[in-house]
Amino acid sequence: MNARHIGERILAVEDITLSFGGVQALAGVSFDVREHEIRAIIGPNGAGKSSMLNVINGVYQPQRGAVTFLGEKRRHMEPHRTAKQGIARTFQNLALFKGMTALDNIMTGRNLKMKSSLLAQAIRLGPAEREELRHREYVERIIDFLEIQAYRKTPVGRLPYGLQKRVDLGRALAMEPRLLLLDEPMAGMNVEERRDMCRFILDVNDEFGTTIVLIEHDMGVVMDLSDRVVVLDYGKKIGDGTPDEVRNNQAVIDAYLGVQH
Amino acid sequence: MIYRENGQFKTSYRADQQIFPILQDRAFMLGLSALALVAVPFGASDYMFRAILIPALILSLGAIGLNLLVGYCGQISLGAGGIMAVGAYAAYNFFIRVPQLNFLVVLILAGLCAAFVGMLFGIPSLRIKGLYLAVATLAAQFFTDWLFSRAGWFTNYTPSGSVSTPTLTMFGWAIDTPTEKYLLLLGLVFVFALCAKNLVRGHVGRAWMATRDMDVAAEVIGIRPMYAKLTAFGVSSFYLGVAGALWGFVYLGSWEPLAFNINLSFSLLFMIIIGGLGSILGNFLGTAFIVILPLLLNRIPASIGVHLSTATVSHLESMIFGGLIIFFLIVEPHGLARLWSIGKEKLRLWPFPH
Amino acid sequence: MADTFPRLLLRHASVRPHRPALREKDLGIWQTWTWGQLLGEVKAIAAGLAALGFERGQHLAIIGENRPRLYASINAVQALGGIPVPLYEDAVAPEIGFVLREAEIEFAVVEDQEQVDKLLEVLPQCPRLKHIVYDDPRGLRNYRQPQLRAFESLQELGRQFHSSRPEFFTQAVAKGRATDIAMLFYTSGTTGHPKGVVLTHRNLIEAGRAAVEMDRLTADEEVLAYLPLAWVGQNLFSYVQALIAGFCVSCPESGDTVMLDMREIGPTYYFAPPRVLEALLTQVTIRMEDASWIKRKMFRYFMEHARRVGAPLLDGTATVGWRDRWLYALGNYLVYGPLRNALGMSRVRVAYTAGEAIGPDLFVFYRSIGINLKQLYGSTETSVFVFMQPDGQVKPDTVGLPMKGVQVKIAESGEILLKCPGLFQGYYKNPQATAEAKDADGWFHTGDAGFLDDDGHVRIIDRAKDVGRLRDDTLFAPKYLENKLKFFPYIKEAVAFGNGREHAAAIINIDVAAVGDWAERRNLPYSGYTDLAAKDPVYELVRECVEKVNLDLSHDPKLRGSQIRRFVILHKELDADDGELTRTRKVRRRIIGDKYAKIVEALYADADHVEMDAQVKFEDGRTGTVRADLKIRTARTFPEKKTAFAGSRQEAAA
Repeated sequence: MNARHIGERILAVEDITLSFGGVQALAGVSFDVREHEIRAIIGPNGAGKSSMLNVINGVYQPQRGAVTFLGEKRRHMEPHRTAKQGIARTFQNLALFKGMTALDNIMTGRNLKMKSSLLAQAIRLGPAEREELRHREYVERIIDFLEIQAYRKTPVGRLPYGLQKRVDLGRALAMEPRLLLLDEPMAGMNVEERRDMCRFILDVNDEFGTTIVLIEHDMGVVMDLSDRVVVLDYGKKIGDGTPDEVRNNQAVIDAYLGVQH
Repeated sequence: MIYRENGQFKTSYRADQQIFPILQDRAFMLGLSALALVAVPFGASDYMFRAILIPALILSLGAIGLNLLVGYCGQISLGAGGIMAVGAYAAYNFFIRVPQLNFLVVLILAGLCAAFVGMLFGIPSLRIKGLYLAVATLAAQFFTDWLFSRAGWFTNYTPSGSVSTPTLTMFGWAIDTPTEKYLLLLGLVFVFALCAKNLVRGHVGRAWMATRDMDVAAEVIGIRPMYAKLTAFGVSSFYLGVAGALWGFVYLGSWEPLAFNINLSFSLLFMIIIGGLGSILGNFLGTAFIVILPLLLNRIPASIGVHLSTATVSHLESMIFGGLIIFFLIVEPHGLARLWSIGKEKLRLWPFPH
Repeated sequence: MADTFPRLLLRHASVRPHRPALREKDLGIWQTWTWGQLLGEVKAIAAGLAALGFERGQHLAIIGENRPRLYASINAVQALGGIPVPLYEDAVAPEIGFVLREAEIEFAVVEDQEQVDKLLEVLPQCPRLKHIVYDDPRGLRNYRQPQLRAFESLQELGRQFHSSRPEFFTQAVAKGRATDIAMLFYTSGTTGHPKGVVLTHRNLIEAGRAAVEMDRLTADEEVLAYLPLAWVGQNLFSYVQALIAGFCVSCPESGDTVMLDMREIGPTYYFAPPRVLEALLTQVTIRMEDASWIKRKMFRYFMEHARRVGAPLLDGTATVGWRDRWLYALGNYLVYGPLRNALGMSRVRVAYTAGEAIGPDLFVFYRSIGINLKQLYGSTETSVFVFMQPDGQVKPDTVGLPMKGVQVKIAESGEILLKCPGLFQGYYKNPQATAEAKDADGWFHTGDAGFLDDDGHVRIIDRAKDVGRLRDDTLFAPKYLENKLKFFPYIKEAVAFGNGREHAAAIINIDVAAVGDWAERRNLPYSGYTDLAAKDPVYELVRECVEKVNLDLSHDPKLRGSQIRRFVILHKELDADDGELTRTRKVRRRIIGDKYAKIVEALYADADHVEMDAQVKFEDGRTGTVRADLKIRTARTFPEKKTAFAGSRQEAAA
């Protein structure tokens, strides 16, 4: 049924090592992501999954190793630079802009694409206004896509959790990313919200061809959604492959059953 | 109660994004403008102009500037008075050294000078936040206080250190009566407030607010913290500089460095906190509160027949004023603008509860 | 005069090409199609369908919510001489499959993936279906079925076709006749398969036009299309009448936003079935509960005032004193106006309700706050507009006067028979059902019993098959009596008896919440439903309700004889689990009559109480017996044309 074309490798992380003070979060982790695929990172709590995402989009600088995205190899890069390269992400604990409406939150995702100068914005005539309205239209498509039309002018703080998660996803989508990092997109949701979120993730991947790397605890979801899975445990990679391969991997089973090393 | 919104649907994004999308609000603003433009110039006394309207207009412009930085971008600053001083002295120097310049050009240049200085003092904000940043901006205040009282060049070497300005003329129009000053200020404040509103609803405004609300997330979606913070310092200081120049030229006429001391910084901060952080309307409400309330308090004892000494009155005034500020902050920490918008929401939802 | 829908469209496109014809809230704003643009769309769709081989007389299924493109498709199909068959968007696949097969459908225009999935599901059983055109491509990227086609591609095809044969559309429209079939509506019967109702252009246009003329609808009306497109009522309001009067129809953004969209658009012409009006009123009541006491007091005060003078002011019938007028004006500013605004009804000029009996309180509520809500009567078979209440002649208990061209006959059984311009041609491929509904003389049997009152207004009292006669041959309409009783908040269910008896009697269920509340305010302790139902004060309360119903009936020469003489409050609540109600909470009169035969007999005997053993199912599944001693009470009945006051004096004298 699925006719997506999995393409070339667009992201490679090599030998990433990251520690905070004396605590090692990641130890020599390497894996790659191909274009258009959905790649999951799983592992027990504290396995270093979120740290891995933070390394990919530049929030953390690894002590060793490098990230190659779209052929550009780097070790240090600030998040706003990786954003410019086309990496977007959502957050495990919502990081929405509380004082703004759902619409404005998603509009911030367009900031990188908006070019008019300060003076032009202050006067807001001609090109500056047209630019603003053009991007509004794009954002409306996302609002439509995520089915949050009824809440576009509600301050995000007043929205229920599940809808805030959608706004968070919307803000990332507004960047038109090549690579989308989702940090536990379904945490804290009820069954219905999870089902909706799954559908949105698949639709994003399908409609926009966006490559997705996601962290998720819900094994059912991971196995259903993803093309390939990386398993981390105590900062080390212990498994990598299709959902079936990973499911039958002894090291992974041990890690999940809590076998002592 | 007064709102009837059925049928006010929008068929274009431009109509949907106008500043006052509701017809009743537009009518209200039109009425208010008519009042300010027609009724006030004919109806107000000289005292009203001098003691209330002129200072309130200039301070609300300053408050807008400070609010862009503190309310919208979340960067606290105690140096507003110093930045206003930069604007005032810059304007003075342009005025006496290049006398052929139009006053409007002088204002813009003064604003640009202030913006430059403001951005300079904003650089620490890239590394520090909150209270530490407040202390750093305090340095700006003390530095400018020191600079303008010590460096004679800025005051054109006047022996007393105070400077005075001649009558303003613009396009052959001598602006010397209070009514004319009021009209000039009204026009300027209108234009600047509109520009400020446009900025905060444009992408730079969203970048400021994003930085304020969640700086990590802002950076992750591609907003450069340096750009957001420095533009906020720059634009804010531009507004403060213009306000400073007007404060000196239109309100004071002649002044000494003390006119722009830390008290002015605090006053502006009070105005935006009471008026409402992150609101353009709040600046006007807050300024009105701070400017008018002391005058009212001052008159109350006499009007109810209690005769007190001037000193007692002024002490009482300060005490009550302070008490009211604390009261307001407890009742509505988001300021008068929030009260206003809640009131408006209540009217829109009437008779249902909010 | 334009006598088909495509000709009406052509006329509006030339008379008012730049005026809005359709709006849809999409991407946050109200996207607008003018009449000129709509014609362009329709031409492209028609030509596209023709290019795919669509021929005159063929059926085409339309499935989806209210979307401009679906409306445009209806017109395009009609322009080609085809027959659109709108189907409910929530219809399940087998239902759709049945219609596709019966109507031999080859083409379908649908809204989105959901509908496409259903069609693909029934495709093996409906091999005739060759083309499925979808409006919203979301989720359909990877569908490879050869039948599928995006709307844009259909129009593109149409534009190519059109450029080679520019005169095609005009020629196709010219071939149309007013007597051609315009629509095929499927109505879901209570039993068996749905029946297709065949209506011509003339049927729909004449019925719609009569209503447009009566309410003086203009091209400036605003209508929000929020009920299913496949329902004949919505279709009349948002397609037929829009094309006749030339007004603009707006489609909401999504199901979640209907209330918001309603508030934005502020329709001037509005339809809502009683259940929607009821839900809105409940919402108003609930939200007011949370208001501060001063607002609640103000609200109650002014609503009470509105109840007294609102409706007369709206009708302009009775004279209202200046003081009441002034108070109403104040109330209008403080309560009624804001309330209308909150409901999205500030601009409503004409509103209708229909479909089931509406409680007088509910009906009067809307009228009292200044909304011109009226009733109408009709069905799919009659193109809806048969009886309507004209402005100024609105009564809560009638459905209005016959429309232009409508002939009415009341059958011996009390059933209403009709002849009207909107009367359908027949049920599609179902001559037997057609013959049952339409007799040899052309009278349509509505299945509803009713009569004309002194002013010529039609009163519907019941389903004809339920109507009976008392022993003295007086009309007995059980559902009419039951509804009248149920409009009181204290009465939850009522079952009326009387067919073949001397008089009418009723078994009543009280509403335990409302009566409980009433009891608490009177410090009347009670332990549960059974206890409460047996209290004497409660019997008094219910008796007042019954007597009010009787008084009401006494004004009515036809129903005067069927006043309720005796009643009993049942010791248990009627329950669907015990088979006493249907799952949709309709009383099963016969079953109840058998089950409680002893009570029914007691109602017609002289006893003032009856002992009853009843089997009850407890919540844990056990069954047990409850023995109850039920009181039976007699309610006053009223002779002709006497007010309650005169009646009681007479009784006292006697």
